[in-house]
Amino acid sequence: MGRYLLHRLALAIPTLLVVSIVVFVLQKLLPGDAATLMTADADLSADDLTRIRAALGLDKSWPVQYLVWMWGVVQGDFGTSLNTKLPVLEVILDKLPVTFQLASMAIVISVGIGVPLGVIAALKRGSAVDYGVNAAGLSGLSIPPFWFGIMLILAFSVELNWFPASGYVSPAEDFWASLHTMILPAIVLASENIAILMRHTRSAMLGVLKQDYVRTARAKGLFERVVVVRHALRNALIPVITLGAIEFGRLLGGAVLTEQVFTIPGFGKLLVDGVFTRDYPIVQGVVLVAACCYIALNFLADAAYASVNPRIRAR
Amino acid sequence: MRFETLRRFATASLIALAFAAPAAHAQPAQNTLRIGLTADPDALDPMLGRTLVGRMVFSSMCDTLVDYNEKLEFVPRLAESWQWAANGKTLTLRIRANAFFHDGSPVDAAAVKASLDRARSNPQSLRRSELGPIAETVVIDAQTLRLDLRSAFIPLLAQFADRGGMIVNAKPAEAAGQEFARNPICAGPYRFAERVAQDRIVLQRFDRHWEKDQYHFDRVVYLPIPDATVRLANVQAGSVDMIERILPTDLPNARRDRRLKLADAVELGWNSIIINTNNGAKADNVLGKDKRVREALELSLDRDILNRAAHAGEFVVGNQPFAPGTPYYAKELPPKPRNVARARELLREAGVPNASFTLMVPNDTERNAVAQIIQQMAREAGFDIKLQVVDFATSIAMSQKGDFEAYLLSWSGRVDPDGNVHTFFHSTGAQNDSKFVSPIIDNALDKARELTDPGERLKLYSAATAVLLDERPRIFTYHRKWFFAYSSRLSDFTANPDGMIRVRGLRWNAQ
Repeated sequence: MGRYLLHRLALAIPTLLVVSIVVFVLQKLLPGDAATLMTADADLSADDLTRIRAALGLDKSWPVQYLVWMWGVVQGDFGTSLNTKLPVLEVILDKLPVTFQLASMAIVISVGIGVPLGVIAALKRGSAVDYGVNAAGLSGLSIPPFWFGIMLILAFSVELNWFPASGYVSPAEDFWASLHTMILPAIVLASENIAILMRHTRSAMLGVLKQDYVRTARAKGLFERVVVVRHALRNALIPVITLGAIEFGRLLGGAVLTEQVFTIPGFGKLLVDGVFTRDYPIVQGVVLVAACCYIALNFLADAAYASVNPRIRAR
Repeated sequence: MRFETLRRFATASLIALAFAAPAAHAQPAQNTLRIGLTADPDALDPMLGRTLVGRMVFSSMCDTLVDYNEKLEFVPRLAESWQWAANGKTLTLRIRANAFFHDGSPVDAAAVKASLDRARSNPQSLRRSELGPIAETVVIDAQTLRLDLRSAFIPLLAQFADRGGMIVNAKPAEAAGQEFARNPICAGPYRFAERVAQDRIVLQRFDRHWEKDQYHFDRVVYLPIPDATVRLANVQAGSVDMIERILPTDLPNARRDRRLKLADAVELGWNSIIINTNNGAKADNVLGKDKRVREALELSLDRDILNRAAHAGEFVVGNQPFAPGTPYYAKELPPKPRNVARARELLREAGVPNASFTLMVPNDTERNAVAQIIQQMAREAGFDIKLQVVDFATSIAMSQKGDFEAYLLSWSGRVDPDGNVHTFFHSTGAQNDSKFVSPIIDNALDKARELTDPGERLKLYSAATAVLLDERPRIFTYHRKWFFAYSSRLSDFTANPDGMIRVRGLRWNAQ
């Protein structure tokens, strides 16, 4: 078991290296750099641009630029944002709790709504309830988040004044205000995942409900609730939990549209702005940290699997 | 988890939410002004700043040497007076005696010199070209600074009303290097307090400011809210007190709302189609080489319909680098009305009845709509326009390399006319991406830099404009309006053509 996990951990390092190299090269392939963008709103001569590129280290060759960055990262220095001159690590550490909170709330809402709906749809298979739940789920999946977000803001912030229209309050500052501010964006973000989790729970439940042990449980005369929750759902949830972990990992990479609409200072917006302003250190830093989160979640899932599945442990 | 436990958890969550609802959304204290910006500003060091939203923050934090009012007349700030030498080669500034930096040190002539010298010499400075005409800065006495110029350069005063004239405390700035942007020390009415990237910038009232009586808020908080509709929703919901840049299509909604007041001003900048006439291989096509084709393109456009369809008729149509109604607009050269028949005729004369070209468009809602309308209008005259939508940074890189045939681009505008033409149309201009060359324009624009008399300058700019309208290296289309919405509880806001929100004088209504 220990060796297996160590092996998985060792694999993480080349994965991160490859991710950082790919992202670095992709960025460099985009036309223009941070200095180019400066010319859009300031009168800069060709000499000015050469000087600025040299000062920012953009005149060096790609491998040198990458190695300089990587050498910094190894020493815990993620560099400075080319655009705001703020330290990248500080900016990322500011965003990480925001993104984590939004992703967690979205996952809690998705699981809290998606799983029960999936169970109900499976139990009432082929009925109006099943079709209704499916239709609602598909709507959640199909509604564009920016539109849904704006509708929620207009209804609950502008008209009813129940929730703030946007912004972010840290839970450390005011826990309830933080929860309150994040509810609408978490709902928007969850709307897509609810449908995904609902569909998976439904099909997993349908599979499990046909199993012999469920029939046996019923034959024993157990209450239907006990059969469904303790015998069927518990087994059906295993693939759903895996899916939930993957979705959570994806959300930690940032949710650009939702963050944009609700003006939440999270990873997604930071990353997209970084790409558009050619802020290489920001993009590199965010991708590296997001990849670390993703790998860590996968690692935890692997560890959990290994602990429950002797076949994996023995490999 | 047992069903019962699940049910308890769900009930507890609902109760928690119900309690949370009234607790949050608390209004901050009345003496905080919250301003919603279109984007997160860049580096908060005037030497490094490049964005309009950055200027917005600077306008509260970093006093300039001079400023201008809504009529574009220069008014004193840190420089209480100034004097040009008769030959335009020397500018003498009298620095006010009661100004202080946020760290308490005085702003005197030596401090102004140090700040200007930093912006003129730092390798990362974006101000080097703007302040380039200064040959030497000479301290005459504690309050007097003389600037010796390489040649007469009247637009320098306008640079001093922008980031080029924002005075920072150079000693700590030099010591901090680029870290200075994390804790800038200027001499404005508000000092830097806190910045959380993409979330907020907080400024705190500076009690030793020389004009503190004109500033009525203890704190000013800038919040980036990129989506225009959401920005409006925020000011409607009271989550912010003021916003900039309302979409024309959102104006009816904003005007109906009694919780809001609106203000607007026509921008100093312009919107245009840049045509590659002389920059590399892509200039080698009918549009770039034959001015009759460019004329046909202009005649195929109906600027009024463009304005109505893309901007709800709220912007101002224009055909020059200066907006109608501004001092340097050439009244004798108004826009020509649409004439599709003549456009077709011109294309036939040029031998290309179905002229085809690619229009590069930076990817945003406004310019996408404008490009599509242009495409449809020009089609009626026989043009086949392909749209190439790319992100902004890519479009700039391609435009500089000459990798475009036509390009839709805006300019935010400068108060001195020089800033709206020289860099774009002078043969040596850094942003002359068409590489357009006209000795008449070069001569007029250079000469206008040396003159102080507005009448004489108008003649020169009009001569340059006439060439531009004939040769059409650019086709100017319209001038945007800056629309601001703010809480009806606020008074005394005046919109300025530069689009800045000046907090000076702005106050809560008397209770």
